[in-house]
Amino acid sequence: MIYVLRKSARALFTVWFVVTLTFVILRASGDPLLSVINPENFTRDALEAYRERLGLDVPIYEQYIRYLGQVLNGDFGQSFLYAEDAWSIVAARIPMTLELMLPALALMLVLGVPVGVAAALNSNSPLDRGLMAGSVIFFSLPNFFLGVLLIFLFSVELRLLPSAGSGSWRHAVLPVFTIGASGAAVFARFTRSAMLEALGKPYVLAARARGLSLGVIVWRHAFPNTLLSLVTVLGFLIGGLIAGAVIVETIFAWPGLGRLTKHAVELRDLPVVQVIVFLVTLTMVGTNLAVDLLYAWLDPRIRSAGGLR
Amino acid sequence: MSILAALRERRFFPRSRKARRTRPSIFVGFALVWLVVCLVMALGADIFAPYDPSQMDLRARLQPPVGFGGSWAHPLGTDELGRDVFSRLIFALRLSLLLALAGSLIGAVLGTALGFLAAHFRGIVEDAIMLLVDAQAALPFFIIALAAVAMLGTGLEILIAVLGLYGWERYARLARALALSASEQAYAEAVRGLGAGPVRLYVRHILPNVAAVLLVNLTVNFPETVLLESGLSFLGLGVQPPMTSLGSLLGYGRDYLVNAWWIALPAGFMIFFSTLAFSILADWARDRLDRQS
Repeated sequence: MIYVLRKSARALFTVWFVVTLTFVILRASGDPLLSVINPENFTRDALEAYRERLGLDVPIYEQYIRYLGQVLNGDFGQSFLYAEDAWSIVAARIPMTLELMLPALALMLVLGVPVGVAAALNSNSPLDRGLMAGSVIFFSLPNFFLGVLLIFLFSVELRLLPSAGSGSWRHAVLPVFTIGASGAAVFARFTRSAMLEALGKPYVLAARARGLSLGVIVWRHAFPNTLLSLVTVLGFLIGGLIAGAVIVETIFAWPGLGRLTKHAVELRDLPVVQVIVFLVTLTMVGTNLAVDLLYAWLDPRIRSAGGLR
Repeated sequence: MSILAALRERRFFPRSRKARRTRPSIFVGFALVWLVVCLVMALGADIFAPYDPSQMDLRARLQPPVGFGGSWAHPLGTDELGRDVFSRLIFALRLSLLLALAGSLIGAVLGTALGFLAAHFRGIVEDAIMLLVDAQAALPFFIIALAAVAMLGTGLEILIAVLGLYGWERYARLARALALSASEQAYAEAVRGLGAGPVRLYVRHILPNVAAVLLVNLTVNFPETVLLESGLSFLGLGVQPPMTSLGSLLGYGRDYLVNAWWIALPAGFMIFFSTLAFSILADWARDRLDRQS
């Protein structure tokens, strides 16, 4: 219980810290009013009126408190580009991105874990070497190149799949594979080494001595012990998924959060960028918290010892 | 091969360490050769490039490479303005390597300095630095980089600063831990007893003793910095024209994929082979370290 509370407090603290840091950087990079309008076209009175409307007429600490209040309400102000609330612009894109992320995550697990187990069971055989060589290749293929390569092969040369847009499952195939491939490779490698370690443990020897079948030994005895390291990797990969979405959605013109991020950064739509940073922070902090809690759930030793540190 | 087959061959226990190959595989050789070739090409870009990378020849636009209907005048063909792709590739490689080097070194110096500061002052300074470390480690750096570009704009100085920020937190963690254990040791005590100030102690005595670990981290950090710069430039948010890096070459060549694949794909393969070479070497180094310990 104390473990859960401590981890949650830490998570909240990180969110607060990132929100505050964004505020500091935005205010330190100059008068926010001047980044929106050109002062030469306005009278002094008009500028003051703008300041008042944007809440820039009060002392900085009051602005900060007001800002924190707004963030808590999900109010990040209007987008500079669209006459719309920044939060709702971002929220509208979330489902499209999940349509890519969830299948990509599933692909990583469904492809990566069995490959890793198979490689571990046949360690140092040609099969193992082949699978691991494949995983090194996919791990080293940067997503921006893999995406271009897949478009070249499957859209330009073979004309099998569409290169851009969304709307049918055919549009999702290439982007999902582009995002998921390197993650699957990482999973395969970590599964293999965790599995090898587990297979060398005395309890596996004991299970063999009891004459249990290999399937039972692998999936009931060894595999649960690899989960701890797989959960850690999963936590890392979520961050990679978010960064990958920006690139992959841009390549395949997929109208999700990633492409919105690219456009917002390019056109310096700061309210939208702030929402996205906030959202990513929440996701990452949530993921880390979930990983910590999963640890405790998977490993009773952590629960009783009050946490891994 | 199935699980059953493995059972039949009783191979589901890892073989002993001794059975593993001791000779480095042929791939390690390839990886080394590739990286050396890249380095030489980048250093001697002015010698190896047959053309000026920005020299246009509008009568020879979109020429295919040799073997695909092109001529040896442009071994990798030309782009939509008749610029020689091979020359642009070499200069792009040079810029990519330079930027990654600058970024890695800045990150190494910054992180190590902050790590030493944390180890020296302890207390609130340490807490503040470790707070920054945790915050940066919690977020995917690509998003931090994008946010920085959104707030500060695109530009070479900003790009280098962003690349420099990448990975500093790992150096800070390492340097702090190493300095804490090093300052317990007798030589640090002796230097302090002889009246050396903290700067002298950390820079002249502790740093040389812990440099090996930091250098290993640099070899991990460098290829990642190449990828970060390539990713940003691919999106058009890194290197700005007329300068080209491998990422921006791939990014703008993407628009010509249908009728001139040779603009984008060579740059992509260059990045891919380099990261692959680094992965192979890292694997090999890890295997060796494993066997030694």
